[in-house]
Amino acid sequence: MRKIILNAAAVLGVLAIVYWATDLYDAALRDPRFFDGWILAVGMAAQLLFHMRRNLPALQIGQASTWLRTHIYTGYFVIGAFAFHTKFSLPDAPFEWVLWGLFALVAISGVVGAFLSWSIPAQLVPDAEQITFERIPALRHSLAEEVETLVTQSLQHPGSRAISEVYINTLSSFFGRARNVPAHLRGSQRPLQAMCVEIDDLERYLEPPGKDTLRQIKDRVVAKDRLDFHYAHLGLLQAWLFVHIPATYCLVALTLIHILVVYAFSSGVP
Amino acid sequence: MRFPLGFRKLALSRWFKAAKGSSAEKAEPAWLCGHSQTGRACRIGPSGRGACQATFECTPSKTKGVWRCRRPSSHGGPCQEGPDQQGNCCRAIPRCKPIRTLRAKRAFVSKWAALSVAGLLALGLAFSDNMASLMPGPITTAHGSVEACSSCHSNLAEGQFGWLHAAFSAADPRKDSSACLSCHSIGKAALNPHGVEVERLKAYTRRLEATPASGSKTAAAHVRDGLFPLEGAFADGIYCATCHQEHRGKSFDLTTISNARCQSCHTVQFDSFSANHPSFESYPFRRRTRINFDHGGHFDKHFPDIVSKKTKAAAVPKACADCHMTEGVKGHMTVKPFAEVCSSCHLGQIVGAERATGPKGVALLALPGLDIETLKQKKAEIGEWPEEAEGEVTPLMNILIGWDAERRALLKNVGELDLLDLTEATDKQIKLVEKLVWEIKHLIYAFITARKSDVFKRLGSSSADPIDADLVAALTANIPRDVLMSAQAEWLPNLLGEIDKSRFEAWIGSPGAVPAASLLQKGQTGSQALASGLAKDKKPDLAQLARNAPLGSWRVDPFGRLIKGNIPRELDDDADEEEEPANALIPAGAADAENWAATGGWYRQDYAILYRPTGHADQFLHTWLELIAQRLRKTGNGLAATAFQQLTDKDAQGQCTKCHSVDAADGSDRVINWRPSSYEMRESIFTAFNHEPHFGVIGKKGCLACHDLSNAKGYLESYKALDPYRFISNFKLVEKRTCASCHSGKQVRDDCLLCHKYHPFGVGTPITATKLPVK
Repeated sequence: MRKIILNAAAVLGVLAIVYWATDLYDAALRDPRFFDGWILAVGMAAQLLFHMRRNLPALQIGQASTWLRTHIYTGYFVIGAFAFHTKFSLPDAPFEWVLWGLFALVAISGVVGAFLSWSIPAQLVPDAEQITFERIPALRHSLAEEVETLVTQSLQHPGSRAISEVYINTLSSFFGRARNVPAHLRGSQRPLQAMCVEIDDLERYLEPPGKDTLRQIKDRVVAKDRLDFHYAHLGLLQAWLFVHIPATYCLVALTLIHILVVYAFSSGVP
Repeated sequence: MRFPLGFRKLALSRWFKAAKGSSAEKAEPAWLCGHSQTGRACRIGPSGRGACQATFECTPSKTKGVWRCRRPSSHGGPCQEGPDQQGNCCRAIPRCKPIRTLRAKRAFVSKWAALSVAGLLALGLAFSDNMASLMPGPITTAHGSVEACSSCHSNLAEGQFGWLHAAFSAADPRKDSSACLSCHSIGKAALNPHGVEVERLKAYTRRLEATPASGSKTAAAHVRDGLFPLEGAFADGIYCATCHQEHRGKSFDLTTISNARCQSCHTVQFDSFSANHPSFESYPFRRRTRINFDHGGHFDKHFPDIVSKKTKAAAVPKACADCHMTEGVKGHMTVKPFAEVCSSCHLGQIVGAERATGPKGVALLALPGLDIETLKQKKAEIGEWPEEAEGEVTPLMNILIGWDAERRALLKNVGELDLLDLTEATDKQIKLVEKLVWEIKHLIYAFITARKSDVFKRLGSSSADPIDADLVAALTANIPRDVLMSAQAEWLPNLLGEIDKSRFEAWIGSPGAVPAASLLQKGQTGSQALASGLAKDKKPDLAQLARNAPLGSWRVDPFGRLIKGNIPRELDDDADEEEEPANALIPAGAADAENWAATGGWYRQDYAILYRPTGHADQFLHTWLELIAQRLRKTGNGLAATAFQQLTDKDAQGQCTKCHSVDAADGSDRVINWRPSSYEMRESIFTAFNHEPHFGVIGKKGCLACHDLSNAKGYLESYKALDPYRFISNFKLVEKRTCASCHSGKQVRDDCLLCHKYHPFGVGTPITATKLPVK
């Protein structure tokens, strides 16, 4: 927490210096929009370095966590610089509105992403690092195969037919794909409890081998539920990037055009 | 050096490969094997473009003539079946539909989104009529009619994408400013700071540098000057766009400028008005008031006297607003017109009603008294001259006669003589008197016979500065010719015969006058000939007419009448008929000439033609005073100075300068202050105080809240000197703390622009050049 406060204070301090310097630049009869505009552009370019670092292996300098932290705090600085550049006011022209909207989209998605990146990992199981979003389908498939195997084996025991019925009616579709995503995002365990109750209700009709099989199936149901939880949250961690990154690309494109326009229509005054 | 595209791609891919090989982290592939969803991704994986490349689980190798399975251990290691005899793997990988990774999906979406946005923008620009969509904001309403961007942005090239060219070429701010100045006129020094000439700026700077500043330059100002120095940055001028930044909305105030910006150039810098703004120096009275009005004298003496005597008591003002008013929208305080506030007490002094001694009118022409007897003894050729004349050469005659250096010397030398006692005068002095007499006679003759403009034309300093008709009309107050002629008939009845044509031509400076005889046609009277000659803008030489006309002893007098002239009285048939004196027809007890002209105008008294002021702002007096002051400035001659002194004396007729002060800031130029201070003539051009907003907050003390009366004596005495900047005011100075008591920035504005103006002379807009729809 102390580190967060220090970092936030550093960002605020740099912003204050930029604001003051912009004020001095303005007082020196220069156009401050060029000054804070270039500071904003440099800040945005610095943000792009994070993106390049992730995509260009040659730039694998420093730890990823350090880069991410720097990216987040630089982002807060860029938001402040943007506020200075726009004079804390809404735009009043079409092109400016598009720029402003894109920046707002990038900034808000970035802030949301930063919050998700901070809050979600704490909710995941300790070994969640091993469970990547891309591996989840394979893990889910593995669990589904195990359950299918258990159900197939249970058919050899008389009195275990109920297990196969449950599998056909409920479990096969449960293991077929990610389930109860909204409930997981809400933190609700009611779907799991309902399924566990259904499985537990079945137990009284089974013989000991069937009960053993049912217990193993229940373990996998719980595991699948945890997998769905991860899927929901890791998916969320991926989903916001679908807003943040495309909006960033658009913003960069329009920012370049904006800079061209600014210099094209500049009066040449210092 | 330009490389082929293929080479660059190759180089790039090699670099990536090298990077991948050296990196601890491998880049995530864009595509995954479709079997990865079931945990059985093949070892080959999809291609970079997402195509399934599945063949076999391994590529067998032949060792010592035997084919061996080389399936990697990560995929189960060598299989039991092994390759067939031809070396083919027996396990074909089922083909899959590769899956794009999330990162690849994001990259795909991102690239297309960026391209789409840029493309849409390009399309929008290509098909739009103007560049309005690129504007950072609407322009102000005042500039709303400007449609073409290039009207202001001189750097823009032609065409829909001409702005792209402009982005890579250096803009010329001077050109952009020229575009502004094509509509907004700020004078020749428009791009100088404040649009003021360099010399004037230097003078202001010197004054500011001498101002004792209560604060020193702030630390921020030091940093600013260090980081962003002004020196050199604005060597070519301060351009319009430096302060006036457009595209900030229809209602944006383009004239706003921050305090910090104002101070960036100034020698004296401070934090705020209430804290460190230099104390006021001689504010608001940097000079004495133009109208000499002694508030103290009126409050303490004149007004109480009037009230106690109960004469004109109603005219005594009760409040400041009875005499003062604000001037239009500028909020500048001025005084009400003379007719409203001064006339009831002071009009009589102007028209002479209250004058106890001396003439009440100003003498235009007068015959000075001469020692005729001595002049005759010394055989001075002065022609006829009335022995009864006892006046002096008037100031106005001095100006009219002394139009060149020679005549001024003559007037000066004769002025040193006692013309009524020339017994001790030398022959040379007698000659001078003789010359003066003829100058006077020529002047009177010219007034009668020539056009007034010819009489006055020599007073113009040059052809570029002529005496125009309006000025002549004012200088003569349109004196009727009859007044002059009746005076001439009485004073110098033979003047027309005395004046020699050629001498008069030389005197008046109009050679080639039309011979009088040629003006007379058969059956035409002299009057008709005169009228005819004037109508044709010719100059009838009436003297010639008188002498040479084929009329025998008859001549045409200036009235246009045919009269007998130059005929010895004893030979004249009508000589026995004594002419009646001019006043013979005026009944006894009638008003004398001076009182007859009580409401102003021309009258004749003794041997002088006088003008009595018609009232306040009399044009005759005003014009003569201005003319003499002007001549005083231009020639610096003592004659004009004497005339000016006589006409501005406290006992002078009209008493104009009793109230209208005379300035001579540099000791020579005389400026008569005909009007009270106004917004346009304020000297403190950078400061503008608007009185009106303050009327509601000055409480019971009213005007005295700021303008407290001073007890200092000597207000009137200070007007005797000509320097307007050395004076004693009726009021105490306004102190900064008086203003700062409200203008502290908390509730009431205290920014620079509240009291100071950047463009002190305003910004003019040229009038429309619409031509009349004349067919």
